[in-house]
Amino acid sequence: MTVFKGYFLIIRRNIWTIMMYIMIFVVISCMIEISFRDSAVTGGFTSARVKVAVMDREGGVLGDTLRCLMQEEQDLVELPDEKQRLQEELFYGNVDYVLIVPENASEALEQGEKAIQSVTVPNSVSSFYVESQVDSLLNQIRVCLAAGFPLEEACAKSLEIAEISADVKLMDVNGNAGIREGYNYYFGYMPYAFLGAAVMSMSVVIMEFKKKDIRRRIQSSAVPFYRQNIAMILSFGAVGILIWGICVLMQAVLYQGGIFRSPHVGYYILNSLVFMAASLSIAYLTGMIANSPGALNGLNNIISLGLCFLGGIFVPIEMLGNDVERVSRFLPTYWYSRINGILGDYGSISAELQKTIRLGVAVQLLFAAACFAVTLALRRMQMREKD
Amino acid sequence: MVHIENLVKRYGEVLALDHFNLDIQEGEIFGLLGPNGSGKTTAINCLLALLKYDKGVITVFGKEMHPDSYELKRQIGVVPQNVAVFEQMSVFENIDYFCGLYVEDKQKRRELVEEAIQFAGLEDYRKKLPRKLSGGLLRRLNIACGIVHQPRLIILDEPTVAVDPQSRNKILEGIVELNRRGSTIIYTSHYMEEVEQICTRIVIMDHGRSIASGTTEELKQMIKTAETICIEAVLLEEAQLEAIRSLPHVFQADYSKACTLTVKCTSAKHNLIRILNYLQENGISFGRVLSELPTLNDVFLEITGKELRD
Repeated sequence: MTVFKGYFLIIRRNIWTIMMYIMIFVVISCMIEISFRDSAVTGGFTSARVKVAVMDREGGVLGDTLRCLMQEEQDLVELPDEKQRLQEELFYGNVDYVLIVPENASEALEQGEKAIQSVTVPNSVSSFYVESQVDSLLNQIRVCLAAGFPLEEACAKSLEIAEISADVKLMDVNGNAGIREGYNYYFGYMPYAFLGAAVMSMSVVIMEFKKKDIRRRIQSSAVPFYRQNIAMILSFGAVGILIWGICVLMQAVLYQGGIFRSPHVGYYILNSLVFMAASLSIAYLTGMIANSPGALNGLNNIISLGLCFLGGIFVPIEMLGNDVERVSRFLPTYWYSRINGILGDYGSISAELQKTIRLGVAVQLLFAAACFAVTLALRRMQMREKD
Repeated sequence: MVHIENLVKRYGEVLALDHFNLDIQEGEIFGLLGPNGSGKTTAINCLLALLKYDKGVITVFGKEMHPDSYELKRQIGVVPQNVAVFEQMSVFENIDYFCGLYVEDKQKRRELVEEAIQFAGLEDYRKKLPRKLSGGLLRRLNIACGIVHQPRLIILDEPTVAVDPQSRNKILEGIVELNRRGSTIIYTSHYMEEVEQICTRIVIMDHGRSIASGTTEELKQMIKTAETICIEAVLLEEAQLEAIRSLPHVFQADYSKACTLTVKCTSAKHNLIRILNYLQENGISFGRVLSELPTLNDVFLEITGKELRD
């Protein structure tokens, strides 16, 4: 118990550094979540409408038909037929497409010639969209004319066909309409807080306890070696749970329950606890390597920022290229981020996704075990050197 | 109380302890004296089962010492050579922590910690962090952490290194006080004056071996030199120096360029008078005269041919 309390006495002296890491993380993740929330695209479907002006210089049935279609499908803008005015309106974006029905357009259509003219902003996407609709209507009229229908009847039938619209419904396979919850973004950035706080708390303690003279003083005391190790593991666990608890509690406050409203609460807890285990074993290793507070600070920045960047915590892994991703697959941050992505993107977890989650948890645990083993080997080496 | 027999410890090719023997009785202040690298700290580390040794037997309180002899360790207090305290704990927290490694009862621990603070004179510094303490205070904290549980056997490994004379005296007085309260002390040092001052029995170590042991007087009697006489004498000739050497009980006489005549005599009465008479009779002018009794350094010098602090 004394050794255990000793760990906490030292941690207490560094509590503000630990809190600083947690606060930085909370602020960053909240800011990012808010910015994503503002620019979020909802999962519903609405067809786009383009501002179209129709200049009917023929004054016949063809012009009326086209005007009807545009009125139905697009936003019809009324403008005088003046070249300069039309150019100005196009320049200022008040209209996207000007459809001109020239004199003798009907005759040209019947003869299979180009019947319609248009003025658009060069290479605009919306002009292609309107053009395809107009072409489709004119082709339909041509087909009707070829079938022997008079122009009026051909126009009416073609308009009828054009007005038939497809009923579009987006499939919501993931069950969350494509929207990630705010707390999912929060959890996405949590590894940075875990790593920073774990390294700055536990590594400082390890650095104190690994000092040769203190170690020997404790070894020559009446506390058995196994009890010292148990105390160390318990204090690591307690600090881990404490940091984890603070972070999880804050998200519950900030997001009205946060993960506790999610159907995946169990997965969120599992993923974050497993990552905390990995963070603590990294902190143990860092404490064994670092020899001064300055070195520890530097190592902490390299490790926490490096792992977060390479693991896709700060930047989506897709943006870092395939080679980086190949390396990242060995890092706990990569798998944490991937599992968190799955939990954010999917409303229900299929068997295939469960397999990925299990793999991610296993890799994180393996990483923690490997780090722990390396640290123990280092510790043994250091003790042998001193013998 | 402590028995070490034929202890051998090697660091690779280096023989740190060479069939080292030691016997310490309860109630002693036992001095381990030797130059740096003579094997004092290695012997202590072996005694505490902190180091594996190649050969030999160590028993403490009549039982063989092993790394897991926690009941034996409970009765031993250690004050290491370097200050071994937590930088991030206050004076009180440090003493309380190290006390907690031996005493589980909270109330008892509180009393012991208070006693240790008073004993070390750290009452005004209990909330201070070690980095705020002076070298002497740090050493006192180091000692307080080692003796707080009031052990039967206290091992102090060079506790006065780099300490000012005032703090050194306070520490030495404290060690005698601890012994008076009933603790047996093992005190290692390369400061012969300290060992002479406080130790009831001494072992002189060199190259991992015990080269002499006994009380201060016993050790001094082992050597030929009983008195060293230094005289400032002007223009002493070789023939006169030879004549001094032939005086009774004189076995060595040297004359330095600084005009100092150094004469070493065996134990006898009136050595100084005899030499001064010779100088007067031969018209040799002399100034300051100094007569010194042998020190442990003389013992070491005569046995090993080198100074303790070489």
